[in-house]
Amino acid sequence: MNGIHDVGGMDGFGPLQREENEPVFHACWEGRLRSILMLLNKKSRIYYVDEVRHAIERIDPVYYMGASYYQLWLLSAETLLMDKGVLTEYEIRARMDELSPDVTFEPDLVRFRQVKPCVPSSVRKSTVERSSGTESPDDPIQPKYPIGTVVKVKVMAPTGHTRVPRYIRGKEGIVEALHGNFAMPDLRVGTGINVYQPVYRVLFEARDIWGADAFPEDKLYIELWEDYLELGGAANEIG
Amino acid sequence: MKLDEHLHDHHDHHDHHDHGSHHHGHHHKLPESFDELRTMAIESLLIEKGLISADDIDGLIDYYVSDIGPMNGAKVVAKAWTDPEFRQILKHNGNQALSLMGLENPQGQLIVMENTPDIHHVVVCTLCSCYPWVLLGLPPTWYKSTAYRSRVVIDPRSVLKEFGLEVSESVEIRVIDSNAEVRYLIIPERPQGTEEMTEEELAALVTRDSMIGVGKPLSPQ
Repeated sequence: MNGIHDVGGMDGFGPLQREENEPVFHACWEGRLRSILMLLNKKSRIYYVDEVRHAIERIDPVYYMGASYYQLWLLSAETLLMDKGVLTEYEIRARMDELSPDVTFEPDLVRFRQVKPCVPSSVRKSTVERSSGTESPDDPIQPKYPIGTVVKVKVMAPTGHTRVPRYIRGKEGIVEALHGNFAMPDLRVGTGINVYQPVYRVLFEARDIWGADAFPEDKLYIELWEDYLELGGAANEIG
Repeated sequence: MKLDEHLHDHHDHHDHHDHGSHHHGHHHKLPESFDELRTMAIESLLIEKGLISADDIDGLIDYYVSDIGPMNGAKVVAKAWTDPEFRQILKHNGNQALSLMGLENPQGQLIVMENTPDIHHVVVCTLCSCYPWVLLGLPPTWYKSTAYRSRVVIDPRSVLKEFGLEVSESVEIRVIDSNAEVRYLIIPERPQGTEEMTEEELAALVTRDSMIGVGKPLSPQ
């Protein structure tokens, strides 16, 4: 989805704000929340990290921009736990009342504290089309694009989860390395199926992405799953 | 303690508890915000349903606060500077090199990128907050901020300047947008005048920022 999280190359967020001697957690609940989520993900296997990311991406843009990192985590976690049938809003509310019978709290940005459903489309697909990969992580796969291949990132606009940021779509780069096979996040979130595909590290010229405003020698690496790519360069134009 | 050990049942956390403040009794503390109260409620319900335990949570907080941090990455960098054989293993198979040092990487593959006099690398995750936290600890807020994520891909030189790092025009910058299950550690250039230093002394020069690529190691004086 072309979500609010996909900020690479945007302007308007101002200069960096850095905190000297920043603590690992700014409040106790942040550490507890992070640990709970790690346990649910890796130990109880309630959900995949890709599902957490997709829930964060669907958070109301006003809340996404205005809330803290762990406030976003909390909202995405409770949404997933409710979606998976582990908890209900009623249960959480009742327990909050028990734990704090005398004091109630209003959430920050309360009107915007929500995860939105994806709006259905009659034309756009929810995920990129699968053309390769295997459903077992250990199956050998012959990568389509050997090191040195000129590849092009597909121009696409799926409505679901994807790890292709907007700024790199349609750009051409060169395969620099293969990282092995990983479950494709788009299909895992969109269909619930694990499809393992080669992940490539692709090198792009900064000027091919940003034009003359980039410094001429600078470059950018990004990892891309096989189905995010097609053959680029002159080879693709023959015929 | 390694992460895996925290994710397995029935080990004893108790000799590991040395922070005090956020252990035991957290259920009795009065919440101070909506987010804290809601987290407490969710924790309490998940414990009641048998999905997690308070001990597991305490153990993981210790892990995040004490076991992981830039000291781990600094040891890896210092060893790479001094031990050519280790450096080769590290470049070829990052996870294997980590296991030689008693470290583990639960986040897929570790890839190291070496800065040279001609090429400077800097890491970002534009879509979320991917970061090699076993080696660097949990990411600082600026790394997760929209300001860093939006700008460092399009204008790395100006962003690095805000960190106090002027990259010469003769040096090529390579921005790494880390968006898959691969984690990147930058091996900064070894500072001059450190030829006689031990691995331990060298590790003390390696800053977190230099391993993300937004800083340089400290100089030996």
